[in-house]
Amino acid sequence: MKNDILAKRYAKALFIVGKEENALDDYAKTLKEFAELYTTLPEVRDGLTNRIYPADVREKVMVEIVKNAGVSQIMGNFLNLLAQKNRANVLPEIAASFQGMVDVERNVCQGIVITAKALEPALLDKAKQTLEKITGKQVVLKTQIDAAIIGGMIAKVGDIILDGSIKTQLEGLKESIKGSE
Amino acid sequence: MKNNKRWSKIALTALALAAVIGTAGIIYASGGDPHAVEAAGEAHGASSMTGPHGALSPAKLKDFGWRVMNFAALLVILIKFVKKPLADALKGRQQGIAAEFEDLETRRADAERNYKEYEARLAGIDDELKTMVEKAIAQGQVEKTRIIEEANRAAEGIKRQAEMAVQNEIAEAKRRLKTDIAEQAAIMAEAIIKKNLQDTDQNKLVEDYLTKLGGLKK
Repeated sequence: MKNDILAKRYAKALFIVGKEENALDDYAKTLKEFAELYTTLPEVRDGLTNRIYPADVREKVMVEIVKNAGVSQIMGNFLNLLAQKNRANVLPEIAASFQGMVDVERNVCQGIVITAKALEPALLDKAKQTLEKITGKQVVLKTQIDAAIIGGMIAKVGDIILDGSIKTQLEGLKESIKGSE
Repeated sequence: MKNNKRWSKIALTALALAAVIGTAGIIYASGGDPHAVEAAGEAHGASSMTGPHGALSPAKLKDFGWRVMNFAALLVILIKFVKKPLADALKGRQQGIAAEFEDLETRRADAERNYKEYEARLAGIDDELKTMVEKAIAQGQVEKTRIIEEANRAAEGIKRQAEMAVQNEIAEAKRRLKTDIAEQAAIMAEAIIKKNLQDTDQNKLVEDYLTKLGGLKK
């Protein structure tokens, strides 16, 4: 909760600058990549946040990463500032919050479709259109394969979850058998 | 304190009396000539103070006179000093004895009253015992009835609880059975679906679901 509030403050500041610079997509992409780096590589996370290392060492780690990533000057400054303020641990939340702000700005929402097997392009397109119709926004759709749902599909768009999976239907069947007299 | 004073007076009086008697004796012993002493001895031997010729000699008369005066003086002294303390002592003693008598009378009356009371109680003790036994029997009966009723109520309660426990167990068993059936049915259905679900079925399922969603209004 505290991290969310902090992340929103940082994301909003960056969003204002990004809007002025017309670099929202670039910033969103960079933030997303850094958040993934932070989340997936424990060494990076350790180097940026572990207090065993002195603060200047942690800052140098961020400076080196920024230098090697070849990000823009403003973005680099932002990331270095996070390291200086000991807020590198909030990177994933800042990325998510920033992406949310960009989506709102562009009337876009992120969505994901989960199926047991890969969807045909025509069905994926239909799914996108259907979700856009439901949300009234442009939907950026990602796909995910999860055999555990057996069949059907689960769509998540913003706060909406649409579950048409066989697994959930079987669960419903099970509950109805349990509940019947 | 007062008693002590009185007794000291009596002792003083007795001492004075003894002194008078002693003095008289000494006077008598020293004052007479040997004849007189002899006469006195004889007088003791004889039955009176008469001389050998039966008449009183002047010396004897004088001696007798002194003796009478002595006795009179003794009487006066005795009356003067001993009368009042003696009378007081006697009166005090009399009052003490009277008080003791009164106390004894009171105690006797109390003892008699107690005796009569106990006698009366002893006379009625049989009835009292009988009444007590009857009361105890009646109380026993009441207690017996109460215990039986209580036991009956407790037995009813236990029976009700047992019935409820049985009902609960049956309901729980039914619920468990239903849960097992549901679980098994779901597992079997999942296995059948997985076995028979083709790609075309999968596409159909997604398409149908999207069509159904498409019918939803925002």
